[in-house]
Amino acid sequence: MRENKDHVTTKNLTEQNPAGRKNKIVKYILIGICVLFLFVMLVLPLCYIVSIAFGSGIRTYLTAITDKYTLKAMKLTITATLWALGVNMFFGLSAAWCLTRFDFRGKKVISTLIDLPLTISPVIAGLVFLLTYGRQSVLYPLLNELGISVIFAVPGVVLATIFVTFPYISREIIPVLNTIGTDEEEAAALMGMNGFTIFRKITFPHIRWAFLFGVVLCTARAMGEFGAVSVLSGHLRGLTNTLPLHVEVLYQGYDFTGAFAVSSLLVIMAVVILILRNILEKK
Amino acid sequence: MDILTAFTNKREKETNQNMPERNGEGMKQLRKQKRVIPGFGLTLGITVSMLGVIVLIPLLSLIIYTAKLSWREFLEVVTAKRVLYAFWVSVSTSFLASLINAVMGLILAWVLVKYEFPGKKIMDGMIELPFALPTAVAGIALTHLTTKDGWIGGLFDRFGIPIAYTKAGIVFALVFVGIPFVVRSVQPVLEKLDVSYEEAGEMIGAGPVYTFFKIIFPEIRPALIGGFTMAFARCLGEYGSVVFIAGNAPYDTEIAPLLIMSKLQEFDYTSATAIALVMLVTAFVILLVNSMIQYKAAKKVV
Amino acid sequence: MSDFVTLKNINKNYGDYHASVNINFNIKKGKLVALLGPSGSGKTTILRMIAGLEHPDSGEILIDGKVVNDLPGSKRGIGFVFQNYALFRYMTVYDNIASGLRVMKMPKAQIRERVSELLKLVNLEGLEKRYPSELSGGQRQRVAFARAIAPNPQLLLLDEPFAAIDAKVRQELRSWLREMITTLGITSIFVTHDQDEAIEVSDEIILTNKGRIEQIGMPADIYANPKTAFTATFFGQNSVFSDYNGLRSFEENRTYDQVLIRPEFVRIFKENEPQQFSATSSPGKVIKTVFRGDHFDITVQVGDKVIVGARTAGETPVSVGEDVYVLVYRLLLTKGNDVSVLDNYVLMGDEVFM
Repeated sequence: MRENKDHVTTKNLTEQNPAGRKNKIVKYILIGICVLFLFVMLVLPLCYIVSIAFGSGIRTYLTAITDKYTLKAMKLTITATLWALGVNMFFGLSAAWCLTRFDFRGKKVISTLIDLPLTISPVIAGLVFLLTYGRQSVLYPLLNELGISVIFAVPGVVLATIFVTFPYISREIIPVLNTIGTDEEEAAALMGMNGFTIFRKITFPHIRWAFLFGVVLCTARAMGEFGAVSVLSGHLRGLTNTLPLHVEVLYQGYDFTGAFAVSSLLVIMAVVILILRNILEKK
Repeated sequence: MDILTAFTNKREKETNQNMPERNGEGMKQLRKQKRVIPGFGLTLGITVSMLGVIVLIPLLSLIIYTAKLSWREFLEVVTAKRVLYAFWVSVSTSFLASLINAVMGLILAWVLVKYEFPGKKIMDGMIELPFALPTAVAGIALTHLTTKDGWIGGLFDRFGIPIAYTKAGIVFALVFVGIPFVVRSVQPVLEKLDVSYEEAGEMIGAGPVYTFFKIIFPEIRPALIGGFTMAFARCLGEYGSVVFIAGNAPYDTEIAPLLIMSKLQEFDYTSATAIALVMLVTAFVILLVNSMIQYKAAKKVV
Repeated sequence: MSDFVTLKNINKNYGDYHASVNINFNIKKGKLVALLGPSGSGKTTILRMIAGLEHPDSGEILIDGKVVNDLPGSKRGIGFVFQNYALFRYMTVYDNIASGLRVMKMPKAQIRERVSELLKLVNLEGLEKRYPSELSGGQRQRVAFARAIAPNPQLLLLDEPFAAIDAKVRQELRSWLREMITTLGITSIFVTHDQDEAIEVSDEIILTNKGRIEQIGMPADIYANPKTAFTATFFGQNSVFSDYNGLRSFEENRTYDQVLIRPEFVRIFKENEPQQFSATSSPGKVIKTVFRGDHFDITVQVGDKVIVGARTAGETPVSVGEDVYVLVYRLLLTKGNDVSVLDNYVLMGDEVFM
């Protein structure tokens, strides 16, 4: 009886009385605004990239993406991404373990410093490395002696990529580790399990999805980073150009088809990342 | 007093004690000299040394380099007309873009939480596209779209409104960059907000507009401000997506990050550092203000 | 019997917070001991120090005659059951129980044998492939128990073993655990905030309050002869008063802070019931009765006092508003942290109620 009554009232609200009808109109207006906004801001640019990329035919497209410099840029992008992933996985897991499993003085400072790269403009990130390893740096004579060049060379690109993606993995793991607490690890430690076994068998299963999520975000950022890398690379075609930098070079040279063709590769990457992200977020 | 205490029976005692005895936990671990869970020394060592190499040393070199600048030099650089104008362009366009995103983000979050409609999942999933799409790619796509020959630019050109290479273009690119921030900070708050809030509003006869502004809006305000400031901070530093669409004309469409870039290309590290420092401080102040607002809001709830 | 666990002058602070103050006690081999106290009394800290999960600032912990202060928890020969069991959520029941044995590098066949023996013992045969999330609270507790005793520890420590279980199953598990520990003959210490649990399950109770030990003793003894005001107020469903004016046949001119009356110190007679102590009982009016299954809790207004007593379900029922006689035969008087017993002088030595 009661349920029935409730049913009638909700129905009334949404359909029958004028207020309900008005709510419905508001609903469709709001949805309409959102669809239009997202269409213009997100869908249209993607479509545009694809349409220009293929605009001069599939053959031109294939030539553009199999160009020598494109392939070299892709190789460098992948190298930098793998470095960033490796370093940040290792760092992310260590930092998360250290910051969630123990209490110690200076913990807050460490976690603030880890998040710092998120708040720094990519251009400034690049600048900072330029100042550290460039000609005017105190480290420069030493590096020069050793024959290592960081700035305007591959190591600079890799360092910049690591820097901008530095917090990505630890940030995803830390909240999960905080919620699950330390009981299971304590129990395992009381059994005499060693640290590595505890991590592998007890802790890691809890964080594997968060870890993977972090890896996906890190990959996206690493492959797409532009500002910081741009400062440090020196734009040496075929040497220190990553894919995004290569896009810039092509675009500045008015090779729009080429620029958009290469971009389309990055679009595919972005879409894959988005899909993975959505799958992982549900776990 | 007797009569009151007489009823302090066991049942009440039990509920008082039912809380697990973990209240001293925060303090409990403060002085744990020997730790039960292994790996403290190792992970702390790794964390601190990597943090040192990747973040700390570079930042230190920025500080060292800054220390070499004299006050006069610094002021001279940052008060140059071109620099001031670049700051103004950066701040005004970022603010406007973030404001647009605040409004649109709020609507998007509302639609995604409150309504059911086909395609909602896709809409929800694509919000993060600006995070996933490399900024340079977004930059050239948005530029091309808004030039006179582009799909959108062509439309506006009929009315004589240019977008690409103007401040409007910068705002357009920054709106793109900032989309996810407000949506993703407001959405979870709206989700948690009890439906009974709105129903209570309706019960007392309040109209939907009143209910929204007086009952729901105060609840999501901190999240909205949080999303806005995050977007603002991000927009201030944004480079990749703006560099193509901005005309990069000094005194008109040159943004601060771009100015740093051109100073670097001229190997004028002094000016670049000075400008960067101002931007860094601005970003920190924005984030600090935000965390103060959030702290205040959190205290009010409890 | 010999002392198996000994704590000597243990102190432990967290900053300004004194979690343990001068803790001393001995536990004999084979005993089941309850660490009882309100929340924040430091009982969990004591348990965690014995386990090696916390470390005392000063003092010595001895297990089986050896000082274990510098020994890691895993080398102390203990089994630990965590409050929320801390079962490994990504391992099956089998792997959970086997994990301790694997660390000991026990041969596989032997592990299988031991695990199936344990599963049988805790009545969980057939569930070895399940994950902890697929078990009920009681089953989880039994897995945690089996996991803790798998490596044959000499000492079993349990942190609030029943706190996470709903009231119905709790009773059952209490007797089960008591039985289990008796069968195994393993020295055990468990932490609880529930006096009934401690009284029912343990051989001995260590009562803690504000980081100190208030009293140690057998449950019946500690209940009947509280040594401190805290112990007196902690046990029983006391009625508390600031004086005992109006109650007959109690020696006067005592100094005290509070008067405690437990329900078992009280008898309630109907007006028509024959009784020999009418001169010592006081008239009162029933203001509340609560049926408790085997007995009624009866609240009576006597002068300015509200006293709670009981009548068994077999006796003639009393109703609210009825005039009754209330006979109080004993009072507990507290003064500071001291407590003394004051018996009704008319009944002194009589065994009417006990």
